[in-house]
Amino acid sequence: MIMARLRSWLRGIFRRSRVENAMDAELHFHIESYVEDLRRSGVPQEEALRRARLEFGGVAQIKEECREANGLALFENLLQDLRFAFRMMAKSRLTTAILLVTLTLGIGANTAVFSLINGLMLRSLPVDHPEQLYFLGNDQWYGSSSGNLPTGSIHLYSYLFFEQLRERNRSLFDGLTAMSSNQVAVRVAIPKSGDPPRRFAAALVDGNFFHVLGVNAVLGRVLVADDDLLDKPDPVTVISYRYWSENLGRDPQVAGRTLLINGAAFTIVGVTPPEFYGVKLNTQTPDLWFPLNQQPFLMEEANWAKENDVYWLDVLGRLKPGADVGATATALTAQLQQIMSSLKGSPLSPDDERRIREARVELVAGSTGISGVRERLSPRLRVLAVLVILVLIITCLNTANLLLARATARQREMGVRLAMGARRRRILRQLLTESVLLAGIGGLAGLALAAWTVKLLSTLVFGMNPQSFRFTPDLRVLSFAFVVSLISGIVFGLAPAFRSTKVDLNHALKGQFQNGTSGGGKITLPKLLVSSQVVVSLAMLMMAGLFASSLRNLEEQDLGFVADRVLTCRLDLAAAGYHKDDVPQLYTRLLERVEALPGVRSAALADSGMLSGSNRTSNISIEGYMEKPNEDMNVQHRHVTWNYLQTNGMTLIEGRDITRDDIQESPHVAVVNQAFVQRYFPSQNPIGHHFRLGAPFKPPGMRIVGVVKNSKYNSLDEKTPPLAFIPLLQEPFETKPAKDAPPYAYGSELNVRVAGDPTALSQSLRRAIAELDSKVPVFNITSLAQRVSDSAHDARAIARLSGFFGLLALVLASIGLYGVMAYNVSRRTREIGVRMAIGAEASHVLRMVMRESLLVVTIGVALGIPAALGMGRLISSQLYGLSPRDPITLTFSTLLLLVACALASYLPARRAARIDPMVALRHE
Amino acid sequence: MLILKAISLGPLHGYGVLLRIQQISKDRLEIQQGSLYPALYRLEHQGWITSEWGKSENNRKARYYSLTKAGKRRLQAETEQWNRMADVIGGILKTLPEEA
Repeated sequence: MIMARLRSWLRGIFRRSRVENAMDAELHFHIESYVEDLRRSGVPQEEALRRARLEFGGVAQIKEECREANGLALFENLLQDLRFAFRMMAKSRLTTAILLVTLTLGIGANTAVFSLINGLMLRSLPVDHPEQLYFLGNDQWYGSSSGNLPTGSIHLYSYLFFEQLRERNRSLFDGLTAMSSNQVAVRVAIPKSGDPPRRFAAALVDGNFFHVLGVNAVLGRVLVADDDLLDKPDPVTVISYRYWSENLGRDPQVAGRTLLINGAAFTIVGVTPPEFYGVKLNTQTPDLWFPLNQQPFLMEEANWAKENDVYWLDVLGRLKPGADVGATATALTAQLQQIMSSLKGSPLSPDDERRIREARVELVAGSTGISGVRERLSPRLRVLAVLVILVLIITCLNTANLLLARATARQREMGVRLAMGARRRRILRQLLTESVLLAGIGGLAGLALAAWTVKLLSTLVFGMNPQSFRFTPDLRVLSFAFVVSLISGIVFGLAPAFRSTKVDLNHALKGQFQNGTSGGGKITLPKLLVSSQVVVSLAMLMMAGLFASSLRNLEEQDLGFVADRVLTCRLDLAAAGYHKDDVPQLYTRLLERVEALPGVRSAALADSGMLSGSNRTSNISIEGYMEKPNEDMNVQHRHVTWNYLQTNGMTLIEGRDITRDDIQESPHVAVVNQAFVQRYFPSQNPIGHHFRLGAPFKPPGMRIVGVVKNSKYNSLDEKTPPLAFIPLLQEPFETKPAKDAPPYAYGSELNVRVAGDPTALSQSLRRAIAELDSKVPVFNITSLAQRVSDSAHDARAIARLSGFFGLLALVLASIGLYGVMAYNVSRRTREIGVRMAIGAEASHVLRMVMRESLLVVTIGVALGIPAALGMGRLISSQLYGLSPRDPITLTFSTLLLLVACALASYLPARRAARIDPMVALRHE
Repeated sequence: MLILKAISLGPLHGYGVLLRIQQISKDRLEIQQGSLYPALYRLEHQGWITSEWGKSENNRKARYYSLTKAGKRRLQAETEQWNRMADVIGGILKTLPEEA
């Protein structure tokens, strides 16, 4: 029976004309047969025809009933409604265009942000059974540490540690594996291609990594345990799908090809699946995968697999199904403490004992991977989510209002329909069809907009490499967009639909609409909607204002250095094969060569760039200093050459700068910043004191010779950390004089202060370095000012976005207010005419209308101020240098809103004031 | 039910159904001719009857309806129910005057 129903339905839908024809033929056959019979019984032809038609009943009506009996009515009506809806849309083009544009924006923005949230937070790792994966500790960033025993919640492990942990835990885990927390940048050249080497991000993973994750190669094979043996002769690598597509032209024979990695030949054994990006979700995902045994070669470091006190591995495992997470973590903690004491060996210092006692393992669910990006971005995503939801609300309010106005205008039409016997439900359905159709079109356009903007958003607002992530809309995003459109369609359609079917027939037909709602001071539904729009707009303006002020604070603050007229670039000295013994001479020659260029004032080298995001941090010990319990002894240090402070425009406050004579053989020195002095020498002159990196203090250490003014080092919104500038040529740790060892830090950042436009110097700088040594790769040439501007990039993007949406909200609220007031005025034309006829002055009428809209706006503002303050609190962590309740911003947003609203209501008010009583009285 | 009964005697076209009903009810039932068709369509939609095109007595194309298996079951069930109902009502009508 269900089949029969379905069949007749489908037939009805897809073979409509045939069904219609059949129906026609059948009915005609009936009538004709009857006519025939009547004629045979002696009735004349004319009369037979008449009687047959009469007795048969209305053909069209019966056909309609037949259609309904067929179960087609629903579909028929829908088609009809849709056709009608399209006609209505075509009729009021401007309104429809406004509605569609705002809906597209509203739904599109929501879908785009949801795609981001989906990609970053909800999507599972592309591995086998991700829910069984657990990380031992939450290592969100890349890093390695050495020296002191780790303590607290452990997230980095040494290789020996990992080996022991793996041995002991065959029963708890279905496989335990590890990867280097740090990614490595490698130089990759394709043999015989003739292209220069390019840098790519690579990951070092334990041989069992892919096996434990359950990830297979799409081509060739993944890394296996054998690849990771310590004395394995032929090095191998697995490449990412992206690298394979972009650099090797999807060569199907790629397995077995050779790549030159940092100059050595590696064999490609396989390609990872396209969706696999590893287990850490960060801005850059790896392009090449190497076994851990390549660490010494790729990192140009000692073999960390043999080092006891280098902590560099993330450990993760697949928990046996049904295992208890809490109990496993407890068991792991006990093992961790045992392994820590056995690896450290006796005797343990009291400090070590405490550290071991406090060390613990937390199991972190790894189903969605671990991600520093997520932590870093989630506040910003939250702001964005709030922003787009507000936009959607305001869009819905606006749409509801415009539709409401239209519904009132269509009351006559509805009256006619109702009078002709249309059921109210039928009309409601038709009106809802109209609004859902609007939302549907908006939703489709929104989806297209989202697909286009999500890339823009991820790069512009979040500075992510869009290729690292897959934000392609999946089923979840599609259903999100669908549900959002449907809900908003119903939400904004319902009120107007109810309103327009609630008509008094007599009045509607006579063209007199209900006048109960037109009273001047009364709060009506449209006015309430406008008030709500004002509330939301004020909150959004506040948000936009706060972000704008915050951005201004960031950009106009005293950075502590002078970014103008400085050119920066990076040099890869390790790649060119420089060792510790070569660098002093290299630095001198390099800087002299650069300073000899025309237009150059001074030049200097450092280990890392200003605002580049990389820094070195160590705990220090100060000679004769009494550490308070739990005092933070970590300071950042930068390794720089002479002229560094001067080149970057930093101000020396006391003592002397680092000079050419501060070389390894001379007494070691350091220049510290004010924050350093404030923390460790609050009431003393720091000059002449000694400290060293690491603890405890051992003479001779470094002598503090100068104090430099605080500045920003890593980011524009940082709180200046204590920092020491150390001569690049003075090795901070005692090292064995190995002939071809690399120095502690390379001078890989070159800063040049010039007289004119810094970027104009790029070419000659490149040439100068190439003349000195053509093997030194030079990259990232840019001005320091550009880097400052890049640093403010995120804040700027957020400020622009919120500004854009804030203005949009303002415009929509003004349109809403204008619409409502203009409509009210036109409806009250006669009343106003009467008032003027009996002596009211134009200014009085103007005031009356303005007062009416002022009430609407005042209600909105009264509710909007708390909303705006709440919004400020929500984003307080994103603000720099101002309070989330900043009164100036609040006043300014409120004023802006009031001015816009006054303007929006002035136009209808002026029209009211210009009403000619004579014309008005003849009106209607 | 009447339509089902009429068709159960053999395939019929719409006009035939009308004639058949008038014939078996001996013209005591008056049916508005047009309203027959929505009923036929409804029955077909519910799967109790099917239709196919064929030639009529005067050699014209006409749509013939016939009963499906489900339709037969339905007719039987309805007939039984009707008979039961008629018995009950008949019984009530008979007993009423005695008690009153």
